[in-house]
Amino acid sequence: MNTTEFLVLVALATEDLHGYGIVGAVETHTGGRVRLRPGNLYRVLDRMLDRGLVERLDRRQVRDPVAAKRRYYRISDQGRRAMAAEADLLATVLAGTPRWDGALETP
Amino acid sequence: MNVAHEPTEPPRRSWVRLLLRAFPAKFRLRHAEDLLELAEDLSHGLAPKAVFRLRLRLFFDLLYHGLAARWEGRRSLTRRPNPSVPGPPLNPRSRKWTMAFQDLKHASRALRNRPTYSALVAVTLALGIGANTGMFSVVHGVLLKPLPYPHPERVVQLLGTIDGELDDTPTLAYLDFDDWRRASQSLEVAAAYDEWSPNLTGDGEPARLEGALVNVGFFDVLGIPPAVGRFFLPEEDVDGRDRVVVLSHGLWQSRYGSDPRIGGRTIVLDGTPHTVVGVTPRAFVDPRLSGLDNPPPQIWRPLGYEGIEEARLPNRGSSSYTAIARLRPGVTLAAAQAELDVLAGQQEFDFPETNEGRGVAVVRLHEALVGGVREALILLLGAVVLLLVIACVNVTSLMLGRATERRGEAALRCALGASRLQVGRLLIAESLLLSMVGGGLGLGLAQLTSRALVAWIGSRIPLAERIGLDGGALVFSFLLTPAVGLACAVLPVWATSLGSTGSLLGDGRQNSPRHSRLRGGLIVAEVALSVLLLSGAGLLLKSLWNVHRVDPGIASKEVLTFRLAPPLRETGDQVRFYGDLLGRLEDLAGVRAAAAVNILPLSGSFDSNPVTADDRPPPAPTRRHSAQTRTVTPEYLEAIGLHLLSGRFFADSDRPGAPPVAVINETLARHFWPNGQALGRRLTLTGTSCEVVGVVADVKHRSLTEESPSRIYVPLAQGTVPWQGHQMSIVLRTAEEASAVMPGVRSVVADLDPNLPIFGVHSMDDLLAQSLGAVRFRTVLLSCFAVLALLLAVVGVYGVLSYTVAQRHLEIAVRMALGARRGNILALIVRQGLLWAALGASLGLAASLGSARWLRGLLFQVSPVDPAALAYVCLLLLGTAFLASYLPARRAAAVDPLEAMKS
Repeated sequence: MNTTEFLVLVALATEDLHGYGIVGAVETHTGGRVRLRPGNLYRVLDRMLDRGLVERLDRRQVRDPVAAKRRYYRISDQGRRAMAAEADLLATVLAGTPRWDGALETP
Repeated sequence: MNVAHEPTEPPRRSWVRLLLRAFPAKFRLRHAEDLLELAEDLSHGLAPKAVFRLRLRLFFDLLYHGLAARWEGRRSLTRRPNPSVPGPPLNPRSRKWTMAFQDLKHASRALRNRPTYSALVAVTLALGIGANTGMFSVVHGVLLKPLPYPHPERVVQLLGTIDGELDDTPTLAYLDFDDWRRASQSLEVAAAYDEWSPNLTGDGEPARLEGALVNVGFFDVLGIPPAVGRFFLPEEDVDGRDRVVVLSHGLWQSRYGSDPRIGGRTIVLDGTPHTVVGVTPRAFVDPRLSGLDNPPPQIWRPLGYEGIEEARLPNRGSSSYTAIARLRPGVTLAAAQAELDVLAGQQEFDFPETNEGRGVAVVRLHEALVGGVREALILLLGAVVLLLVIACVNVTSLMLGRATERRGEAALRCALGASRLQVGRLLIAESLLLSMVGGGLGLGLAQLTSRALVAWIGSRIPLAERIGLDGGALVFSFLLTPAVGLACAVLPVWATSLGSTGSLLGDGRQNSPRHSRLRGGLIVAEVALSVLLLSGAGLLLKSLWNVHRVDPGIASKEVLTFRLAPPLRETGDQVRFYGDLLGRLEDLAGVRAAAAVNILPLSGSFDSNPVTADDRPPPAPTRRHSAQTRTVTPEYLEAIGLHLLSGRFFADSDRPGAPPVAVINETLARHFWPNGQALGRRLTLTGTSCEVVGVVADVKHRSLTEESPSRIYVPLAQGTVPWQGHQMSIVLRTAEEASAVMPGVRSVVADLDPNLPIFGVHSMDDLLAQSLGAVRFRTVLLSCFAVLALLLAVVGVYGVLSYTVAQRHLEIAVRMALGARRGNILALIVRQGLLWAALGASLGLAASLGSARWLRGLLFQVSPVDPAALAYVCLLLLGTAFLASYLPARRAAAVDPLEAMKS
């Protein structure tokens, strides 16, 4: 899983979002450091749809008429599992053995 | 039907849709609409600069990810899990994409290894593509983009004609227009409008607004919805119910902070309360041409002419209205013109006294607005295309050299089975890559120059506010860039594919005569095109010089002007007010003379009236001679610096009750009394017979290049033309920096009337410069292009000659060893360069002479085949060609023959 896929799964972890919402959520979670471009975002979503990590909601299922125009995405169970595994892995790497502590600080 | 509207912006999706074609079809089916919506969401609420940056990023993002998605798709189709197991053959379509990507990879590596060459080519192409994109954005914004109304081709302007020719001031009489409006079958809706300049008082600084009085159909003609509120209702066009106004978007923003509840608010104009009913949209274009002294309108009010008896409307003899109309669907311009000709003909018959010879011309509104600048803009576009051609020739020449260098490698590939096309493909890939880099740089250049242009052009080019690097310009650049890349690769690929493999495998460094003839031909072409551009620029520069030397008829240095419009109707009140004001102004430190006049020279405004000489029989009313009429105070002569040729100017003795007097200019004097003395004769103006007491020199009226029209001056005190005292320009001749006296001026005016706004503050020099605006614009721009072209041509000559010298290294060494001296070698090389330059210059001269007639309309007192200008251009070019040849020649002559023969 690459970083972008992980960030999208994190964004969808708490609520279903449309494209613009995902871009905003990722920007918030990364403190403004990552701004997804449309081409990049939808390529990633396409891959994740193919691998079953996210689902696309039918437009009819959303009640609000403004929101009904947008297509929403939802994280799947498989996606949740993959996200948890990745988060676990990153946490292990960061916690790690003492010799890593100095190496990860910026000089 | 007027309904309140939410603010609207038109969607701009077409170019994004185009870019989405880069993605595979399956992806597009799944995600295209969502992508489009996201792109729109991201640009919502951004400032124009940020929108442009976003679009640029989006362009590269979509292109890259689209192609990458295709690449991924092909790879996954063609990936063989076990390389040792032979799999199915590659799909031919996927093979093409694979090879294309490989070519680009190889090309980018090759270019990275030759940074100087790559940078030179990229910068050259950036100049050419950038200049073209910038100029295209100007032409697109002004000439091509339709006006922002529904079916803009149906919106027309009605212009008054005399004997079939457009009148100098093509206005109409309201009653004539009203007849056409009611009787016409071809006009769906029509509206007249008149100038209106109310004083806005009440909340905030008193301000003078530029506005218009319009028939309520005005906004229906244009067909656009308001940004806020509504436009006028039919019942509001009636006197008494017409105290309603519409504000411009700019005024609503600047004065009322874009208050969304502006509808229904009361504002005070000329002391009377008016109700605001709506606001025009941001992109609104008013049908009037605006300039420094009549900015675009900020406020509209109904004319209030409905239901009034004809006797109370302005009579047919006075024509001061302009009109626009919308044609019915399916009606052609010719049909509408024919119908109105018939109606005007009927009016000529019914009202011979006022309408003899009067007609109307129906002109598309866009044409009416931009027709005057079309010629100049097309010329500049042509110039910038020539510049691009020169840049391409330069790049082709460089690439030809490169192709020659790699002949050995090309021959090897051919021997190993590659087709000539495959070998040529690398060159094409390099060329495309460089043109894309150049195109990107060029876009940045275009953005900068586009802004600079708009800031500089200001108000003199109509519709200048619509110029910008928008979708149209981006698509143009997007299409031009690969086209340029391909064009530059054509000759090198063709040249590489000539000859047999055997000859290719020969010494790749030998100078093939065909190649060198090709390069020489390119230099000749470059020089010829440069001469063409330079000669055009040279002629325009000479023309500009001539315009600068024209005597405007006034002394414009250290003269400050501003306008006032006190609410005084009676001449007596006006005379007292201005007398008081001018007296106080003259007492200010730094003011040498103060005067008032109704219209300044070179201001773009006009007011003409019929004038007849008393000592001859009066002509028919429509055949009377018209003279520009100026109402002035006695100090005007000194304040503005008029030259008095004979007689006297006005004095305090010319007051009410004294015999009416007038001063005329030489043109008017020559018109009536070509052989005799004008002093002492009598003229009749607006029914008053005046004695001519003085003759002054001509003063330029609207521009320095036009002939001065007839002009007659009358004293304010005698009220000969009473309506001219309503709005006057105050002219101050100052002893020092003109703007230093403004604080004193403001306090004097505030003392007299604290609610009286001062507006239109300009120095006379500003007005002079503004009248030159259009001429200067095209001259400077063309000169810039010409200088760039010269630079490129010089670089081209230098480059090719350097290369030639490098190739003929051995030959030169042999010559020197056999006794040739340094001078001989120098002469050899320089002669070659000058020969090409001379040939190119002759061709360029021939082209200049051939295209002379296109330049004629833009020149002032210069012939398009002016021998001096053309001679200078040729000398300049030959001189620079000599320099460009000399440097490589010197290098050649410095060769040590022994060393050269050893290497």
